[in-house]
Amino acid sequence: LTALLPAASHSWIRVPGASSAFLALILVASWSSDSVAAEAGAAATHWAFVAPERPQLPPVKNATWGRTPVDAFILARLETEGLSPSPEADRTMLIRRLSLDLRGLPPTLGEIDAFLADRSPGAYERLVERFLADPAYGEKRASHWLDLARFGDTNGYQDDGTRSMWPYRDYVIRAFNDNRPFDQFTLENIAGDLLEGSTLEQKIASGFNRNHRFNEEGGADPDEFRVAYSVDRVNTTATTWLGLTFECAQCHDHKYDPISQKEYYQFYAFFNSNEGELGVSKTKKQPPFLELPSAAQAKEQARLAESVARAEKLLEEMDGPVERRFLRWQTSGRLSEEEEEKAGEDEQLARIVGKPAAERTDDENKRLRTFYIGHNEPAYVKAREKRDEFRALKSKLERQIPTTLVMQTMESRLPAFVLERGDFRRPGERVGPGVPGVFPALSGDGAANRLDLARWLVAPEHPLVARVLVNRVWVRLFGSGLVRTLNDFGTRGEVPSHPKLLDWLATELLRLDWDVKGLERQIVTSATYRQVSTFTESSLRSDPTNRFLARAPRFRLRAEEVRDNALAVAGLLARKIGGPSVMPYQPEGYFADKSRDWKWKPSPGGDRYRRGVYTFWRRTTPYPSLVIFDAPSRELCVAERARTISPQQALMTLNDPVFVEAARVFAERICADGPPGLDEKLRQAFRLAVARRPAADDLDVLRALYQEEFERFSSDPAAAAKLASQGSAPAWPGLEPRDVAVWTSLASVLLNLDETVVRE
Amino acid sequence: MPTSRQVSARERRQFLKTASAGTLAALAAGAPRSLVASQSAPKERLEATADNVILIFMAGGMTHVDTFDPKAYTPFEVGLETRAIASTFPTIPTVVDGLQITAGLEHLAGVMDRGALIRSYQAADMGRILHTKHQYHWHTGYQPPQPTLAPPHLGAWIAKTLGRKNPAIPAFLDVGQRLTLGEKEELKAFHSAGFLGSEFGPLMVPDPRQGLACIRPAGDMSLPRFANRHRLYKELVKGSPIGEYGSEFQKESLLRSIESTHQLVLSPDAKALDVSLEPKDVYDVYNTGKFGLSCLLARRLVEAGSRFIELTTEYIPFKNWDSHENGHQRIVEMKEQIDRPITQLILDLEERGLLDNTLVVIGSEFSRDAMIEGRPGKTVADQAGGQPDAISEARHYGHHRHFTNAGCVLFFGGGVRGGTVYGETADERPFVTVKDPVKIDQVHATIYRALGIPADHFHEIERRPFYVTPDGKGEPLLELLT
Repeated sequence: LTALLPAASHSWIRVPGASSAFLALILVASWSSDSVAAEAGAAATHWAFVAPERPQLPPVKNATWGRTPVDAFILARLETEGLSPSPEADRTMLIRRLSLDLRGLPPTLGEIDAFLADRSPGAYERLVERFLADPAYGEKRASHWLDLARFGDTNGYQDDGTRSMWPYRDYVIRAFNDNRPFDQFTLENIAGDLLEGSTLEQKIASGFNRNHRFNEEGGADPDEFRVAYSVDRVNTTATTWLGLTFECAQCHDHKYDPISQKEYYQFYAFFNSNEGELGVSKTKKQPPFLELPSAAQAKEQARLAESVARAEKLLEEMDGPVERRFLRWQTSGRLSEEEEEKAGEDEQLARIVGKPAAERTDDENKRLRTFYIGHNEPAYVKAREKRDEFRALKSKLERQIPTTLVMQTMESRLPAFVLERGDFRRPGERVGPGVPGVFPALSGDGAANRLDLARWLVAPEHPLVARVLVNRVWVRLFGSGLVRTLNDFGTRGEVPSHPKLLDWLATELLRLDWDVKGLERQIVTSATYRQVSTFTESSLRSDPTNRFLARAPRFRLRAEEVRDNALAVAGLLARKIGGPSVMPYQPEGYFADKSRDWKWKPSPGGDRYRRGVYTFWRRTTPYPSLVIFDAPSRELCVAERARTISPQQALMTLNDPVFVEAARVFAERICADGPPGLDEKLRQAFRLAVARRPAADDLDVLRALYQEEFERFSSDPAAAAKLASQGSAPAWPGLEPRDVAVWTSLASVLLNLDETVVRE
Repeated sequence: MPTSRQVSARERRQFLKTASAGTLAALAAGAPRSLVASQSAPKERLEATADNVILIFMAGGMTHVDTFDPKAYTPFEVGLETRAIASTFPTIPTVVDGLQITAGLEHLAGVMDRGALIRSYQAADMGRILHTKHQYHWHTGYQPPQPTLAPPHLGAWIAKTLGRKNPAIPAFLDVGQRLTLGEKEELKAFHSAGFLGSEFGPLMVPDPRQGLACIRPAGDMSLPRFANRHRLYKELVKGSPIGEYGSEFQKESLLRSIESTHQLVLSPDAKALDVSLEPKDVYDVYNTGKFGLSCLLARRLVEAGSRFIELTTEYIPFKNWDSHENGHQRIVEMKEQIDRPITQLILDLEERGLLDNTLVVIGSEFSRDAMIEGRPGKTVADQAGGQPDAISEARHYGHHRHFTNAGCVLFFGGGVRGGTVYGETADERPFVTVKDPVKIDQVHATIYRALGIPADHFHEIERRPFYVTPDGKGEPLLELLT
């Protein structure tokens, strides 16, 4: 039996025909050998738990290909696999790719023409700089980050009421546009509130850990949910910075990675002491939160506060004399004639006043006092009205002041316990803050706080954080990661396709002092990034998933970008950055059955045409056209979106009011603003949609479609008028409905091309 | 605290070293028990008085004092104090001497001689009150959360233990509850066979008017195309959470459940799900809306050979029995929905000779009260914001708080001793149980007993017995059975 041990393998268990007796032996054997391996600490030497060392550039045979160090690693691997890289893409494809990857928006015709015309050296590099400096860059990068940050505009769970959290989203966009070094960004997100002399912006940033859901159901147990929120913080932090599946260790020791349940709750101890935190509540503002008045609001608020205080003081001064006069009045035992008239139908009053004072109930005294004041103390009534008016104004103003949820550690932190089986009702061993032993030690152990944790994450010796980050950057630019399991760098994750490249990029990021734009510059200027995306039958066979990058990847745009692209192509996109989330059109009745008191109120005017990153994110009923293109609900941290292709997507881009309106406005733009002549118009429309010039057969198809639609709408003016008036954007004056309708059909086809929703 | 997971590697190796050849041989001799959870047959099948169950669930909390346990009638008047509100309906007599219920239930009053009424049902004390938490407890007998093993729904236990009567018709169906509305995850948690495996879970029929749609291919899809989809679907199932991470048993159970539903699709017996086949006059008697037609569907399903059918007024937060305001008016409406169809169901079953072997149970997760949230001495955070001390508007007239100290459960048919009343509540507020309190495990044990299943019947899972009632200790209320 002992001889069997090292050879015991789980696959034996499936040997057909093996007797149960034999299986039992094997089970015992593998049970034992598993634990032997675990004890040997195999997991601790897993590649991802060992800090990266900067590798040498590998030698390559083809010395003519390659522009940056990235290319050396890619080429070396291609040569090992017997593959060769593809040629560089043409400029039109390059500018569209770069624009979509860095800004999430298509290039304008002006940008394309300028780039095509710029034949001087460094034209591409200058384009990269322009796009990195475009404010749209921050929005694009934010839309990825906000999936990790599980940013939403509502509380989730059953009621899913609205919360105000958009200042955090705006902070992220700003930080990315400012190219905030990622170590600083980390400190701000995890411990912005604890930084020495922290600024307002840094406090807002600490809201990263408040983006979890919040339960408004009055019947839920507050203790259960206070625990749930901190558990969510642990899991989100671990996925986002460490790329590890900590969540497994909430209920038991991690089955595959060296994270014990105790270590899980040590990590938890960083997050469980938030000042005033509620477990369950109906309130719209869940403490701790910040008020963010504008300068004008702050001034007005101070003025009203003073008015309220003055009015209250005046009333207080009047209280004594009024009360004395009331006491005198109520001893009279009856109402005057005039008073009786005023008392009107309240017959009780005369009875109450007739009672001896000692026999009156509190309630009766109250009624009497109310009556007396109302009729005999006009000055007091007036002063009270004034106070109420000021109070109402003040609270009205305060309701308008934006708020945002933040972290704020309690002065004396709450104890943390290992929760048996993850059950909040079963606290076990008490634990202090700490990090799993497989990682470098944390300074300030025992009393360490979130700031120590954040510093620990971005310490140069940390084996995971830089790798996880560069892998995410890689995904944004190549569609999939060097490590394909974005959320799992543990022993069950996939091994990197290019381990040395991953380590080179990670060390490069440190060398660049966490300058993410700098790292992106390194990658997008590489020859690898600039290849064509066309594939041959043989390259498809030898590397179907394009793991080795012998060509550029082509992939469908993300949900927000499908929308942004259509609006931008139509010329409808509103380029306002930041502010409260907006509610564009959405199908009628989408909320029927799904919410009680909650209404989707379509935003007015230009706010309907904002980028997807500003779309109001209701977690239980997220915006349907985003969902259909695989946007997550943002209820929990998501490291990677699915990328599906489904028929519903085409139905959406054909029929959703957003896309129909975009087609109509796109059509008007071509009719009114385009060049004269059908072919010129078709060419321009085509270029607006996909950047490249149409080939002859592309034009043939479009021309035929034009004729067909022209005939259809000429003979059906009612249908033409209907299609030409879709959406609420003002119509371009002086256009024939028939022409608009014909071009709307064409525009709709162009917006639905595979090429339009794909980044080549 | 050491758990079984924390047996150290050293201990394991120690075991290997010291285990005698004999021990190992013994281990090797049988099938490895840890791999396959085994099902024990009932120790003894008791003599059954029923063969099927229809559970009628009044989801959202049915007030006892406004339904089957009348107190002094306090009509609405401006200035009425909330604490003075007792029954908001007058009392009516029933066919049973001395048994009275409230107005609006005149039809049911006529069949109370076929039924037994428990007036002393006490929901568990689980802290703050949440409907789905109590519904989970009501349906599984176990208090949530159950983080390690998902306990089965009562119906799943029965489906598993007694099996199908008609091979084409699922043993367990659930009619009228959508799982797409508020608290949907919490609802899904107990509309489930839990560890017993998917094949014993409920076939969900969210709307009785569209019973066939639940099992029919969409639109005008041809059978070959449907068969093709069925094949593809089974492929997709491999990528589902159960397909990917479930045990072999769970996977097989899921496939079996798909297969048996597929059988139903092709079976002529599927017409049992089509209430529109009923004669118009019958349909009209039942048709008080979705709930009434659920009763009709339940009757058809019993006739077709279903084992356990749950039908519900449907739990939707703040709808139906979940009245946080306007409670009186709401109950007027609920009674209009339930009174006639439940009565007709009982009469129809009787006429067809099916009432003798069909146990009809009516229950609700807890009761309601105008004043007390929870129970006296153990009140919990109030959820009826805005209920004034003295009422001036009709919308404040009713029982708007969740009350757990008393409540009603009714049993009809299936060997029930007709005309029985069990338990008693106080005549003055607090309307608490004063005699023979009944807990959910007793309710379950009574249902199981009627079906001949002992309360300590169990299923072995993770090498321990899991009983139909916690620890196998539920005591049936034999007084209610013949």
